[in-house]
Amino acid sequence: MKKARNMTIGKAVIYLVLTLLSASIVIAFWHLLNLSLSPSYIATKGGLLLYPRDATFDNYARVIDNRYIWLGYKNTLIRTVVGTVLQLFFTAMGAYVLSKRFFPHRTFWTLFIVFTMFFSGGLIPSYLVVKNLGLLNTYASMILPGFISAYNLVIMRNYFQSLPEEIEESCLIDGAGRFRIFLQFVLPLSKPILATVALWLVVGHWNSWFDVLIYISDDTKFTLQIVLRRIIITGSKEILDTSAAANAAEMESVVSSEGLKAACIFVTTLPILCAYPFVQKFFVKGIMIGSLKG
Amino acid sequence: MKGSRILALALAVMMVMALVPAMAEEEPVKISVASYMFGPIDNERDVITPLVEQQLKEKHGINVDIEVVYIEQANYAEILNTRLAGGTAPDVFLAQSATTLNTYYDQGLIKSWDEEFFKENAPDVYAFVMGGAAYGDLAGDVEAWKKASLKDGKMVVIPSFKPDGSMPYKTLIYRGDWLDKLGVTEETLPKTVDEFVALMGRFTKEDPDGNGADDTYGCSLTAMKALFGSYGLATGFTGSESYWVVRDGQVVSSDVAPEAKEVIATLAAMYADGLIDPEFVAGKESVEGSYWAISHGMVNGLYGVSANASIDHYRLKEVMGDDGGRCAQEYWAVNGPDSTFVYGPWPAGPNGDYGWQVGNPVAVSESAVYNADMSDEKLALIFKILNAFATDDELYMTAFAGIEGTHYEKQENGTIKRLMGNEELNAVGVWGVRSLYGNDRAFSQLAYDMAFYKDPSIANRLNWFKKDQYNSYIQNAVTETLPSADLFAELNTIRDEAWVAMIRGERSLDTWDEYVQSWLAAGGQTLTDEANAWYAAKN
Repeated sequence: MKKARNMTIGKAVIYLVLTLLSASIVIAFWHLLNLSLSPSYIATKGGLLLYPRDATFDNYARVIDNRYIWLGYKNTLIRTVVGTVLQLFFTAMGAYVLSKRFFPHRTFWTLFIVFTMFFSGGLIPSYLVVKNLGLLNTYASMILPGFISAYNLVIMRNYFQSLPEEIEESCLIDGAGRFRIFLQFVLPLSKPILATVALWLVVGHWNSWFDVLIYISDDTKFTLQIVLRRIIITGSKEILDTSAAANAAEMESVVSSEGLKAACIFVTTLPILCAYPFVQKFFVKGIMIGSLKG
Repeated sequence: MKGSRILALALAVMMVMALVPAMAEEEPVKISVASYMFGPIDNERDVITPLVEQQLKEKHGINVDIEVVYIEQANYAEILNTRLAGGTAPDVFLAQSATTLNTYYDQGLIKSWDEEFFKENAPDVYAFVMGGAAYGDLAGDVEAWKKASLKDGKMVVIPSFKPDGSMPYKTLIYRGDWLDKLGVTEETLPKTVDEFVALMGRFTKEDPDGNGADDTYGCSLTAMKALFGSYGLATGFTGSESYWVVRDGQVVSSDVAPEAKEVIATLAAMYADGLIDPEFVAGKESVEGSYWAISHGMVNGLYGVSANASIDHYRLKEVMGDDGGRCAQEYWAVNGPDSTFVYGPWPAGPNGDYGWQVGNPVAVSESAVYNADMSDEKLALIFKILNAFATDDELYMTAFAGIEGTHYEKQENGTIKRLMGNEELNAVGVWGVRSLYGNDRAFSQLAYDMAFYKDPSIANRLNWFKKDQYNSYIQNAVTETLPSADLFAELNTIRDEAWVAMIRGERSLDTWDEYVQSWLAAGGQTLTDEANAWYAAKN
């Protein structure tokens, strides 16, 4: 009650702005959901859909029927889980080493890694590396090329640096080795940063499609985003070929309807959307928790 | 003893017999091919590729193992280029455009061969082309075909040869209910720019949808673009295409041609009269993410006429025997099953010009090119397969349409009706091996009949465009990408800003020359020089 009385104009404005901001996001999703439940001619009429008209589950039935969606789900889950776990662990190890002041030539190695944030080999050299390592058409090609992100590494390094060295010293006195200290003390104390980086990695893997496009030609290894992309972009652009036969061939194709596209988007984004709230609490906790409490 | 000798003999015979097929079994030649596909081929469900391989082997003695490679359409060039660089590109891939064909040739990535070699290995294909295609109606284009296939005197590509290639791609489509309301019949549809403008005025002011509100406009953006044709121009207005016309022997961009000023003046006058939607540039026809050919503005009763789609998109049920063209379906879904639309003639301008840009019967954009890494023997084998496609209708039907009853059924008029969606058909192998041609049909009577002459919608169109003012002849004078084509992005912005401001009356038409100067200064002059050099070299 007391809080309500403390409501000032400033706060009211903040709430209003935040409400509008949320609405601008929620309405888009709501429209999409209604679109996915509507037959195609409703979509052609255009305009904002506040409730589904002539509601039908046909679109969802067709999405569920599409075996590539399920294959894509499988592949996306594999790359997301395996990729995130491995990348997180190895990034943390690298960051931990770089966070130690007594690590020889620390500045050099840090710059060596930061350097990769500004320069990259480019598409074709990357492809050649992946090809010559024999990684084409493997899950490894989706995980290894971007295995350690310099950005994530630096962020983690900074976090590790902020942990008091006294804890580690006390551990050393108690007889713990370096690896044990890392696993049993540093990592548990670093949950917020691990969760943050893990979320970035998960979202990155979930949304990534270009590496699959380039490195994977085996259709059973296509990820969800590639499948979704194919469904979404079919027919949305005019082929700039003035030949009528090309046009006719293109028209023969059954172009995905707006409703189907919406249903696909929903089916593919929903899981990642649901993951957000659970990880989000770690974001708010800030970078420095725990310290000497334990 | 005797019995055991017979037994030994029998065993020996059996062993030899067992060896015979193993010895006769030569290793099939592996060929990989990547064409535009609607979706990946599913190796588990692929029934067509093995069937085609079997027919090739049994009927033509061609023993091949064909691998159909899926490369996504939207990023075809990008993916292919990385694979070319990595040495993992397929044996057969698409030329994509005259420009990429040049690049591939210049970089030594594709094979070239003598015309004699082609004639020897694919004699029927060669004869078909030389005879001017199915009914000889392309006889006049044979030289152009030859020219397009050659680089430095050697063949590098088998261009496509299409009787409908020079038909206009778009059609003016009027709302039938509005025409009825205003008492306009097919005979009284506008045939000149003046009549067209007058009808747009009636569409805007006489409440053609009968709802009592002033909520209609005549002209959509694409219909506005059609007026450029009335002045002998094609335009990329609000888009990225670029068009060139020849005036007094010089190549001039449509964007700065003197006639363009007249079109803009006409449009500005229409705008001042309120005949054009003030939000005409806002993308009310093609809506992002939606099927491109649907004019949402026209389908939903904001505009009376659009040129966003081709006659095929608006084909009638009775023409196709199916559910009608894709845009027609949407039109009926929104406006009711009895609603009508009318194909209109192109309005003629002061010099009698009319129409929309047209293509060319000869094109390389959908044709296959052959990886430079392959041996001559392999290329010869591919040409033999192409020849088999041209002579063996059963084989062609298998590769192009699949198995009768499962993947397609024959229709009375000689065409086929596919029984699955394209992505599904691709998955089971249809079109896969056919891609040895690129995206084209085989050079055979059957293939041409199915694709053009017996296909009611295209036959209809072939006849349709024989009618006066439905046919059209505005061809781009420059058919290759110019070296400095990157400059167009900036130039198109300059053009669009100037034209939109002039149409809306925010900028005086007297500033036309200033606009032309700024266009030339921003790189237009460079491109014009390049275009003229290209044109001079070509002729």
